[in-house]
Amino acid sequence: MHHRQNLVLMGNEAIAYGALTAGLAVASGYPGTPSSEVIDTLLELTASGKINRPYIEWAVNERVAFEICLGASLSGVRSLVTMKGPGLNVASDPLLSSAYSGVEAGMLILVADDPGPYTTQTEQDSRWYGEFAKLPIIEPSDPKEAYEYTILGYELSEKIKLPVIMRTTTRVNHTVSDVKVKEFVEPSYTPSFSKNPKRYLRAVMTWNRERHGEVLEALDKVESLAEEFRLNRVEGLGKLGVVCSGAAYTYVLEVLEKNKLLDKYRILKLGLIHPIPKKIITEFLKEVDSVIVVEEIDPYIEMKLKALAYDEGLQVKIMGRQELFPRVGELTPDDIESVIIGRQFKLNNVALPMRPPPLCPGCPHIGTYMGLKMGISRAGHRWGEIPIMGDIGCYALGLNPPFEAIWTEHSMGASISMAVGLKAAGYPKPVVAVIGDSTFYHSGITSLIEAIHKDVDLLVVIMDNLTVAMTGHQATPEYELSISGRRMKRLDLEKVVRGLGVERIAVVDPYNYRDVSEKVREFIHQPGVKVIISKRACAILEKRAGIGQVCWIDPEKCTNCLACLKLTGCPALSPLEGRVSIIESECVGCTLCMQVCPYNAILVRKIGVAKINV
Amino acid sequence: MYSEYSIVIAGVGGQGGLTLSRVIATAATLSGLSIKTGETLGMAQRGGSVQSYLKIGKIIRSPLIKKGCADALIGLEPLEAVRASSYVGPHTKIVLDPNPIPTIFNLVGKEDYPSIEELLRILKEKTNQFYIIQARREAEKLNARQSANMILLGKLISLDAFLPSEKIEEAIRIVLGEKAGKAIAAFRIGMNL
Ligand code: SF4
Ligand code: SF4
Repeated sequence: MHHRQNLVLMGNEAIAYGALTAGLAVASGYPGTPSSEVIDTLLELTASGKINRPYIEWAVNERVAFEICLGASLSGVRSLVTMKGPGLNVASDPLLSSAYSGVEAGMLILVADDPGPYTTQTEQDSRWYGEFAKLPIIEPSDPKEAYEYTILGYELSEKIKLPVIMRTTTRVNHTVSDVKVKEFVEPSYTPSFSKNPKRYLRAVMTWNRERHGEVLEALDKVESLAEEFRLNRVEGLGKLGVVCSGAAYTYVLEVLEKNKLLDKYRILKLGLIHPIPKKIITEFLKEVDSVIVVEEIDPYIEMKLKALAYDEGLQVKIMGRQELFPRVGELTPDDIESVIIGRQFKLNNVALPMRPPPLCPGCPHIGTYMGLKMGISRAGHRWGEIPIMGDIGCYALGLNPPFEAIWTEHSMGASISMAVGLKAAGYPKPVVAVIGDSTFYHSGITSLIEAIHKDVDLLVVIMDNLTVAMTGHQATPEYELSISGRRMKRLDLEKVVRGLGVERIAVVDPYNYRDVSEKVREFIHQPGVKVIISKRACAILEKRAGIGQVCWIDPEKCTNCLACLKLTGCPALSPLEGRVSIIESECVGCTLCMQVCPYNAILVRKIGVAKINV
Repeated sequence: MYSEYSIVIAGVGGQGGLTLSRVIATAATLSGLSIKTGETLGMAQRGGSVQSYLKIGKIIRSPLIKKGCADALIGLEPLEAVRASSYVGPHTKIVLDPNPIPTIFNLVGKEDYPSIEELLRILKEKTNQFYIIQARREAEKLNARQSANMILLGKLISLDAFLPSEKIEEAIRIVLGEKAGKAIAAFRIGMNL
């Protein structure tokens, strides 16, 4: 039965494999780096027919995903919900009640934090949620452990009948490593759901108080279970203590091994973060002369240790991120080496030009921003005078040249509500909010309801590229078919917006950027909420589906004025070797550059047809 | 043989750094070694700075490499190689394609691309094991633009045989499937440069 196989897996793939080995039945989540590949992997395995599970799908947002998984676990099947750190903020409402309802079958909540940060709006440390929501938190240190902890997480969850949070960081989620995996286990169950008012109903306050007590009692059992599962361990016999968790453990071990210092040190590696395992820590603190705490983002373990030492009357010196390490950014083996052996390392001291990713060749957002820019100017305003409230998604890259468009990017859906705030404050000029389709469905829709209801003068541009593009093209409510093969009911964005009561709506194609600009000019001074849906599939998807044409520049006509490049910023336009040309393999034939060339030097060529100058 | 070998791959999103990293990782596993790679993924857009770290050996603890301690830097683009140059020490081998890729700031005329001579000078100062390889040009001769990275890998393997070349060729076949032919040819060209 349980074959072991050695695979090369990314941390997120290992988590997906672990969940399947544990007999996972239901998985949901909302895409967010660095967590997305868990559900992506489960979907791929479903699509390839390697697994068959009742439900693996992306949800409209994290709280909905969370509640789907909670419902599944209450009916006796194992579930997995995944999200990035800020996603857990969105799901925090059901998260906090979930300890009170508890679960029947195991529920694992994967939250992926992003020290650095590399791709996240805040450098959030989600470990604080353990205490806040009264749920256990486990933290693996590499892909192999991520696989094992996923399986253990389900066992722990079922022993105490509470959801378990697994916190990871980018260096676990996106590290690729060799992992030994066992065979997948088919979930064997008949879903059943029985009434249990005290647990599942939060309407009676005495029940809530009672449940609070029961949850705390359940949490008291976690420490000894963690011992049974060997989640925490001590390595070495030295007198210098290091307490660490997550990827930081691997850095510590490496630095000590390489410097041949293992015999001087004693490492306490914590896999259980909440409730903090008091017994093993207290014993550890008694054995060492000093302690360095190495952990990602906040001084969470450090503060716990200090409190514990105080309670136990221990004088041992404890230092960590508050005293020794940089207070922001990702920890590295260099940081640890500089603390442990005082090795200084040099950072680059040359100031180098930044290289943010540009919008892709033929990205529909390019056309929308071109239209917005032109429309605002045709309405009598300067570009840079009208606030454009941005949101989270690819279109946030419109902050870079050539558009330098958006003024804010805050949290999912905030473009519209913050724009309402500007108007509520009496801001005298027109205000524009730009938001993507998936972000709109995720959270923007409630903000739009607010704007409509309060009859705010606001222009909303929904940049509908028919996918969650930035995180790798996951499904939106406009998908008819899931990768899992499930048929879904497609929502129609225009009907949704119209149904909410917006009267001035236009659906335009961003590849005709003048149409966008015309609607912007027409709408921007009109009263109430106006919505422009700028609709065109993500250029990467179009390209995958197969494009019919590309553009090329006729060198005879081109004056090399570079208007095409400066107005579109399209990366398929290459000015190398002194003259601009179009990299044919990159071009998707959107014609936006052609529309702005003052010399008509850009021409369309159907694929498979030779370049002819007509 | 090498008890541990660490490589930084620096380039621009879309240049195939990730595929290169998968090829090396696969070759390492085929050779019975452990690997860990550290990558910053997660943006669909190409064209931004990308760094990958790879460590190969009997036992590998962390996916990250210490500053000044990489055994090799594979530079797919000169500005990005300099950006990763804090990992370069006197013993580090650099194989670099010196052809620049402009940034969006360069393209729209907001900023100039730094002088190539200056970028090469920074790298040269750090190590004298610095090899400039016209990988993209060589690959174009083969009519295999996508295989430029394999030329760089071939060159590196010829300098430091941290993995057997047969295992790399086998890994190329596994990772690239049908497209492996040209990549293997490119790898061999790199070996003989
Ligand atoms: S806008 Fe037209 S004339 Fe100007 S550089 Fe581009 S192709 Fe040439
Ligand atoms: S047609 Fe022009 S703007 Fe569109 S992808 Fe091709 S080069 Fe870029």
